[in-house]
Amino acid sequence: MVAIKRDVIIAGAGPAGAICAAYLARAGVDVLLIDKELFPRDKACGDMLREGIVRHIEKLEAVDVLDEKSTCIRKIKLVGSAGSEAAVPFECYALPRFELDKLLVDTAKSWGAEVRQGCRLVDVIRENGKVCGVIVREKGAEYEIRSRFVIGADGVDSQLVKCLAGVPDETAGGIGEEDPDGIWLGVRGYFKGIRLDRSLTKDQYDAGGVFGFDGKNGHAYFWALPVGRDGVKRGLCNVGMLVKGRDAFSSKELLERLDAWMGSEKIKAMFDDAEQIGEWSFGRMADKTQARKCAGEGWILIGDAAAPAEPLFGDGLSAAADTAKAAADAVEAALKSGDFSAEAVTASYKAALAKLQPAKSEDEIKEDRLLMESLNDPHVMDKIVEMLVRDPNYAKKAL
Amino acid sequence: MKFNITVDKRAEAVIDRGLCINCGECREICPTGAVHELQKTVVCMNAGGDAGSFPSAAKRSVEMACSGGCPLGIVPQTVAAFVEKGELESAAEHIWAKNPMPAVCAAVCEHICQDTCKRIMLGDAPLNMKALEGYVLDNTEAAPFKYPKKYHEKIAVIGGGPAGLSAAYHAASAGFGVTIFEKDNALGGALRWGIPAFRLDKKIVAEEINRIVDAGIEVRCGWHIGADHSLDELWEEGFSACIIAAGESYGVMPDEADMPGIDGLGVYDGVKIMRQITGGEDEGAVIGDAVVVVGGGGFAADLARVLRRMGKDVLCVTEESADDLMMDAALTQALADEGAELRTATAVGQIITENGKVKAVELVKIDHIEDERGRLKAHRIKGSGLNHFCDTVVFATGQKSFVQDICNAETYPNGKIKIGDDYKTNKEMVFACGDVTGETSSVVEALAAGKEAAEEVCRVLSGSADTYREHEVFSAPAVQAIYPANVRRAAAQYEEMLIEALPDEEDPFSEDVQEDAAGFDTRAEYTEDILAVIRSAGITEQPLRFEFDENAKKAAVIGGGIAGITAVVSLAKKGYKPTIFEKRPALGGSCRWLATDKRIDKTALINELKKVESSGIDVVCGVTAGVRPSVNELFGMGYDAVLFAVGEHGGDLYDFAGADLAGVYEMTSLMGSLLDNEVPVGFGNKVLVAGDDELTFDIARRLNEICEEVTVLAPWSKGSLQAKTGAVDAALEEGVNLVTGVEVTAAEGKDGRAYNAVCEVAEKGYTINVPCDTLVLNGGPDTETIAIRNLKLDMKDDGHVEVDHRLAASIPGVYSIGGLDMSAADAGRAGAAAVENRLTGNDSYISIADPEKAEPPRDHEMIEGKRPEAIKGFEAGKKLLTCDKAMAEASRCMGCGYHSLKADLCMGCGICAKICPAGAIEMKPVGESKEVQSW
Repeated sequence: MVAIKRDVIIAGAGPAGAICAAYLARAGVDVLLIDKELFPRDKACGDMLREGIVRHIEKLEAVDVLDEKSTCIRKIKLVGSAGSEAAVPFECYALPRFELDKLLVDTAKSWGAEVRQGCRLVDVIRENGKVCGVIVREKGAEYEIRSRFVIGADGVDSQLVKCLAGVPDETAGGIGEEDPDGIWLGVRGYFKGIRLDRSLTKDQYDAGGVFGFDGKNGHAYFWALPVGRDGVKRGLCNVGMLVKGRDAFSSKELLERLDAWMGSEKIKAMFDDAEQIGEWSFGRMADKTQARKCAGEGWILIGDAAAPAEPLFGDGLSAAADTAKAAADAVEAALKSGDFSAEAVTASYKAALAKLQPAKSEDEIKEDRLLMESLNDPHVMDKIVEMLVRDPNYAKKAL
Repeated sequence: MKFNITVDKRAEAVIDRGLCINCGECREICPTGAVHELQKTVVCMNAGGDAGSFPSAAKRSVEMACSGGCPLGIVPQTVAAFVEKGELESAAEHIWAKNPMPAVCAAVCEHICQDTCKRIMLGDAPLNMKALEGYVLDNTEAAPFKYPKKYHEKIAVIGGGPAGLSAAYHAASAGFGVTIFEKDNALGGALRWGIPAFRLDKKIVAEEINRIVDAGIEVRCGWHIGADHSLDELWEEGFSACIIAAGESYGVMPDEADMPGIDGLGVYDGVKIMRQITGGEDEGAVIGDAVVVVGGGGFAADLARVLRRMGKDVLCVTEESADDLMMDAALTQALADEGAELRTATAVGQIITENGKVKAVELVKIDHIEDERGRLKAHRIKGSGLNHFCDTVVFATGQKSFVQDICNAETYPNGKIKIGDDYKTNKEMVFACGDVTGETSSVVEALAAGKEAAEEVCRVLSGSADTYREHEVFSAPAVQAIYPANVRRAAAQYEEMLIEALPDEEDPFSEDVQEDAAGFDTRAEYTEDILAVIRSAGITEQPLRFEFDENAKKAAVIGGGIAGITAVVSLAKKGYKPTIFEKRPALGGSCRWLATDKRIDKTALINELKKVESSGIDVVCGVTAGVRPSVNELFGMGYDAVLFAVGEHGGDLYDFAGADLAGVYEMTSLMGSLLDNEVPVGFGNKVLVAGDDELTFDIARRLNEICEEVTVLAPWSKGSLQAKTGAVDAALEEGVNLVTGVEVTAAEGKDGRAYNAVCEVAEKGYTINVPCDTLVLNGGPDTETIAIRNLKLDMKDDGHVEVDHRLAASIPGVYSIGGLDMSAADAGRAGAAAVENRLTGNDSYISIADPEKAEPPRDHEMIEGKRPEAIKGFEAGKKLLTCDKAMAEASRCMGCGYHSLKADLCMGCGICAKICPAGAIEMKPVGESKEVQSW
């Protein structure tokens, strides 16, 4: 029997994996995209697609479908704990991950990537310190697939990371450590019949959502956003909460806090006729402070597995999409040059990422920190909301 | 004492976490205590199985380590790992090393280890250790025991029940001489007479007892210490120590004052009755036809069932209320199934006798009222007395032992011997264990107590300074945490997996039970004759062997299913040199990769396919030919023709209205998950499966094992379906419903989830809505990527390659046999003929459809599957798993535990590496002397 190597195997067909696969396939690279789930499948998320990811979907020629299926959010009402409110411009598409992920997998397929669903990554094959393939489990059988590159896009609890963390050399590089403070916990549910603020919401392409802060729950914030094609028409909203710190709350406590917010003075009217669809769904994400080692000989991590996100300041999906594109570029370069060394791949990955995400100025970093601190203190947050109302320029800068 | 030693440390042990199966042998043997156990944190991010925040989840995960779940120290994870690897001998070795009576335990142990399975934290059923253990023991041979002779001291064990046998075994294993004194005429104690034969096969008990004593333990049956012999005789005979494991072999009866009529003829204690029926002892009890059993525990239930099986009319009464019963739901159900009445919150007021014989009992209603301290107290309701006629009354309200007869050791007020943590009584060199101490209540606990007591005795006698090393479990690093999303969700086939089998020995008490058992099949039956399919594909009984001419023309056949195999074999027979490309790791197509073991005998299939692999035909697996290499690249590689023989399934549900609803699945992807023993999140319970082929009925049967209601929607009449009648009937027999003459045209949703399947009734010309929460559909071929990689290849709307009547596609030299209305083998032959046309330049006719074939009838009919009937009347002595179900069950183990090593404590002796049964420990050279601390 003949064993033939694939160019690239991507584990995990979420947004990062699918976008990376699409980019690579577009460049003529042989890609195999595997995922343990069957698509479409649900995933806990805020469902906001901001400019960062939309840019990539546009490049992959799938933005028309996205446009048709999503609610376009133009404004966000910020609600502080003391009841102060401010409507600020905020643009994003809102599409449930159930639909988005399927759309992106289909996009990857349409560019020629091979997709295997229900195919679970079990382990990596490693020879002389280099990752050179994976062991997968599919249809009741476990088998090897060899490849020149393995890309881990398998989320915050990445199986690839777990496989790599078993090796002391890799652990030394910072992979496998988890900083509890850099993990965010989230809970999300869908509701129909939510009363949207009609002064902010006109139709599918001009809608408004709500962000809430209450300063009592540590670094936490809440949201209620119309999502999908019928989001505005049916009052179909994604309602959820995100809190910083892996050990902050148990999932029960998380729900209690969210419940309290939904029943708070300024918010509760929204839920008068609302009815929950399905169950609450819980999730975790890792933020940038994790500083994971993201590439090595024959492997790259992208998306949540690489912990690129900064909740509150930027959406996880955009950050994930950027790593996907950067990894695609780095892999393409390595395949062209034949240089698969850890240093070369890491360098070109970082360079490509820097091009997509310009470094923040010191002022911006300061503002970010202020915003983060403000979550702890209701007064600061209320102040910010007030300032936003008064000074439109500040709003432009802050959001 | 702590001291420092310097060793010339040349190597250091390194444990591979991935290979470690957590058996703990390295930890137990490590002289410096460098090895410790780690447990991964199981975090449930859902409200249902909330484990709290991460730190509390980590703590709970450590507490729930399954390595600590079994009183005997059997590690479920280790057993599961060995089963999954197919190393049954090693699994058996692990079990035998801990438990001298494993087959007994496999049958009657309550497997409290299952309560520690962390799958519970994910809201899942725990690993079924009972079944796995039974499977291992059934498929391995037990080696005879060997006892070393190391010491001249002799130990006397009083009592031949589980605790005594275990104590004797472990004392003998340590090298001491052991004698068991048993008052009955045979060993076994409660195993022999206390557990009914329908729950525990007495042959197994005898086998395991013989294995223990035959290796060199002296047995004196009929020696009743305390009656016809005394303990002093034993000391005189030269025994150095004595372990009392006399159990509780006497029943308890109420006093005359509390229970008028207790002296009547026909009133017995439960132990006596059980000893007479199950143990075959002559207790002189005369059992009438109408029996009242008093008591609400497991023993009372056993008694009631045994009597019921003898054809007696049985009433079981207990003072406990229905909500507060000692027996569990399964037992009450068993009682009801077998026709024994259970009356709760009822007491016997008095026994009414006539001429000294029992005539009736007065039954009094009980009310449970809280006293001032908040405890529930039973009060008899006045005036609620009711006479119930009967001729026998059996008290199963308690058991006791007579310790004072054996020796006058200190006892508790309830008569149990007082022992310390070291199993010592207050008498010199007299130890006690098991039910006689009141500290055990199950077979496995008795076995464990026997073991520990024996170890204590041996320690005292040998003067060993070995102290017990605390087994501490630590939390693994956070990165190893287990999240529900990363866990293979095991199908809920927990109970269905068990195939019941009766003990070989005939159950003398119930004939109809035997008939029931005979109807229960333990052999797998396949609904499809794979050998017939294989033969039709041209694979003969003899090995295939082809020699190819150097200049033979080459053809690439894409797709390793039956059609592709038929095509290559047919081309090879004609002297062409074909290559078969398959994207999966081996040939077989849907027969191999999309069939359950109920449908196809995979072992036979794989054996036959080996003939193709070794025939000389080029077999290339793991490559998606047609995509990479593309058609043009194949021509560039020197192939003269390319034949697409890709499957009918695997594509998306693009055009189906409602494909994007939650709960709508493509059949092959779903089957893939099910074969992995996984079920997608949010899979429903009212399932519709559309289609009529073998795969349809196969998946329907599989789903029927895990969902409440499964209905197949088929387009044709029942007799005209593509699947063989055997498969259809098997599905109906198992409870799958069938609706014929309908075609699913769309799915309607509610809140984004499938709610209705819209079906066209072709015959009648109208549509019906079939309610559902899950819909499984066929997706058509998965050829999208092929189209993208071969732009000049025209495709049909249904996803197949567009071909003409010669099967030729739009690119010269490319052929396809997708979507032909014929069997896979016939299609393969047609494809081979088309390729041959190309290679020879001929243009001969290819038969691609049967013109005579009329469209089958479309009668609309709704056929309900057979509703499962509860199996009544017997419980298995042992439960068997088939091989693949055992593997599936074992693979549900999440491997939560592993061992790790503190390098600075390791002194490099390498013992652990030598004994590790999983080969997970390697000695890595360090090349320097190191100071090692030891305790």
